[in-house]
Amino acid sequence: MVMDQYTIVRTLLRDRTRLLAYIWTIVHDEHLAEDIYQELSELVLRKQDHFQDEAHLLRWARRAARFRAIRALRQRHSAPMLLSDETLDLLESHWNDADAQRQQMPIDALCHCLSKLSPYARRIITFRYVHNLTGDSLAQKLRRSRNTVYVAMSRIHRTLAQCIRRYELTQSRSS
Amino acid sequence: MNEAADNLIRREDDAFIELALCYLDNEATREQIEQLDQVLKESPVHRQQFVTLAIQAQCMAEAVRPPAEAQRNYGKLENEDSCADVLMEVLEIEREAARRRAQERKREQSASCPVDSLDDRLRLFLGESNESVVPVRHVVIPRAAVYAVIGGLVATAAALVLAVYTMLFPPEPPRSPTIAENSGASGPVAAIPPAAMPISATRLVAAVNPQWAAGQKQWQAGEQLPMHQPFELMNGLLWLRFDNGAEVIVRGPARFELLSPTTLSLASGEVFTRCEGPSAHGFIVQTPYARIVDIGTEFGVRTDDAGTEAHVFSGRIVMTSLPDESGVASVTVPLDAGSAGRVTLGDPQIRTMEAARPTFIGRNDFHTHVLAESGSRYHRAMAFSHELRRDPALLAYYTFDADSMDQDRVRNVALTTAGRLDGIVTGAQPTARPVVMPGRFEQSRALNFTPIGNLAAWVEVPHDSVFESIEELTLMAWVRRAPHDGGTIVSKRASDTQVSFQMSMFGPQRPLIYTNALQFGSGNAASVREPFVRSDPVLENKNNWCFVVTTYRQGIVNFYVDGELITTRKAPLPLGFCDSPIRIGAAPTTLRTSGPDPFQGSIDELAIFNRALSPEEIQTIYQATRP
Repeated sequence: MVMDQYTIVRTLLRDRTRLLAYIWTIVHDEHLAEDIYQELSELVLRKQDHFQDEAHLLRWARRAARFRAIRALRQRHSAPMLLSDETLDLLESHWNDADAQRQQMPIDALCHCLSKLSPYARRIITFRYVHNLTGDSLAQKLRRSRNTVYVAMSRIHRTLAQCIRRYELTQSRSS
Repeated sequence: MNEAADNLIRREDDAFIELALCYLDNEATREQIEQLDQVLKESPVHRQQFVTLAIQAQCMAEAVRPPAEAQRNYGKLENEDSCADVLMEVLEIEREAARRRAQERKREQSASCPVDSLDDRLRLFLGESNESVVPVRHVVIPRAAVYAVIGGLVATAAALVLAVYTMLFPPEPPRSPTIAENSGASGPVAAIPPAAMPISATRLVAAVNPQWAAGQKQWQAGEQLPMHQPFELMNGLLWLRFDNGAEVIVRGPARFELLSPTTLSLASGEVFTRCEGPSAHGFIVQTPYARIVDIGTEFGVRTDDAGTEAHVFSGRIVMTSLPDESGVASVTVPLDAGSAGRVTLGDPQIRTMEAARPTFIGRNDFHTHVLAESGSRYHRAMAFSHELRRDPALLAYYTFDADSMDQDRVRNVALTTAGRLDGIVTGAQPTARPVVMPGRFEQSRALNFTPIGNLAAWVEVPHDSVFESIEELTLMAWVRRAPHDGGTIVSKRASDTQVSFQMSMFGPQRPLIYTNALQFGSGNAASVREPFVRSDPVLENKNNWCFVVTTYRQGIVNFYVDGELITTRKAPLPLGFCDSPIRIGAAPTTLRTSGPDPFQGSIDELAIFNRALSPEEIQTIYQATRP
């Protein structure tokens, strides 16, 4: 039994964040990742008679995305900087797990945890994700060294992840 | 001891996240990537952490977007049926964004992007009044639309965007006069919240076959349209996006001008406007006859030399007629969803009527036109249907699609008579009630009639004055009859001898002269048979969808099947007249007939014109609408 177009479109929309994140981990360029996602969506719609269920679609989409991502990197750079095939293969099972859990950022948890960040952390988040500043530009804007900024970023992400886990735990207990 | 171990683990975690973030930001060196690769190979825990981090970072990036975008796209997904269209929009927008990014990449990285409105908000947020913020890569609006669309599929994602955005960018006090002050309007308009401060001009997001007037620049999708410059679109469709989030679809022919970042002046033509989100409220469409102010809604405006109509599809607008040269005072009327207002030349009164949504090109219709260009037969047929509705000779048009059906009500979507000539399902209900079923395309709908003998139900349309002075006529429909028989497709008839028009299609089980033939009838006759003529029996293999047309002109009746002229007959009588209602799917029971001769099968795209279409026109319609 093949999937109907409606379900395919719904899956592509619902799982876009994870697909984009997946492509991003290969091309490590979020704009290029978006370009590839767009190509991928068109490809999936062209092949809509091919998919049996959502899991099949997502697995197929990731394979196609990986192929296209590597091809796009090779078109741009003669010696692209890539994670090895072996690593990408190893990561695959974790992406499958994320699919199975429909892993998304819990909305209320994210809001709650962002509000707990210090003004400096919020400032970094703003520059990084609103203005898309990275690396030296971000460091320059914050008047810090590049290394310091990445240390701060990593702490923010770790803090957020911990906060979100705690928040979810609290919520599940209270419910 | 445990604390020391925890600290060690934490430091290792931080180092890994730092490395991964550096990689995702495209800032890692080759050595760092090799190091990351090695860690990921060796540690399942770090692989899991890497996947989670990528998803978390992606969510973060999606979260911090302007609220207007989020709300607009959240609105799209409230109805999941429009999901496919939303994706098409996403793809189209992304294609445009990709093109723009490709152009940007060609430029030197040192080129500064213009400072956008976020910067102003950011300064307030950071308390840095003099600090300039120059983004390295400009966040284009389409990306935000895409993000919000996807996030919006789980309905609360929009709330996330709003919440996060609000947290990061607390509302700033208004720095510009309100729209009410700008427009000079009074009464209900004064309650409109202030619009956002304009920063840049309106963007032409997409266009379908735009034909600009001679001598005018051929504006392309992606370009920003300047203010205070008249535009004349001869044909085609434009999708404009204003800085405050308002989206406008302009349908050619149209003449318009951008008066401000929140005001569009429409001299002639038709626009469809969607203003979702507080920042888009207060958007104004101004015509020579009226000013229409949005209060968070979706509405259409059509204006020509005779006057202006504004149709509200959701939310509310305020329509104000403009004072004429004689100085007659203007009138202001609030209009809610489902209603429309009309101001005509020389009369400042606003006459209210029912909104006619199917006569406007909305966002989904725009996508239909885009997809029609790519060769999809269904979308091509739908796009053609949108154009057909504007034919001035089209008196009534019933598509039976979702946007024209409301329980027992069947809407007429012909532009000239929109709001009138709607039909009601009547007759032997529920026994033989017609049902909406897939039409000749999987995505389209048709009305399926399953009478039980003469126990029938049909669609009844009240008589209207437009049928009183007809000299020519075309009856047209896509039909799929039952294998054994058909019946009456459409009829306007008072008795056996008083017939405005009737078109029927017969199957193999009829008496010989009717077998597999089309029948047309019209005239005020002395005997029952006189008003009717039949085509040659050519419908033997027409159990699938076929396109049937009969035309009457100067005493000649032509019968067409699937775009081909099959029979020409001399009409026995001139066109007749009666003030009986129209019946779709049945005829009235008369003295000489044993019942309503109900149609058995499906009817789609029924149209009635007050002129005889030419063979070329009929062939064109067939080719454009066939499955």
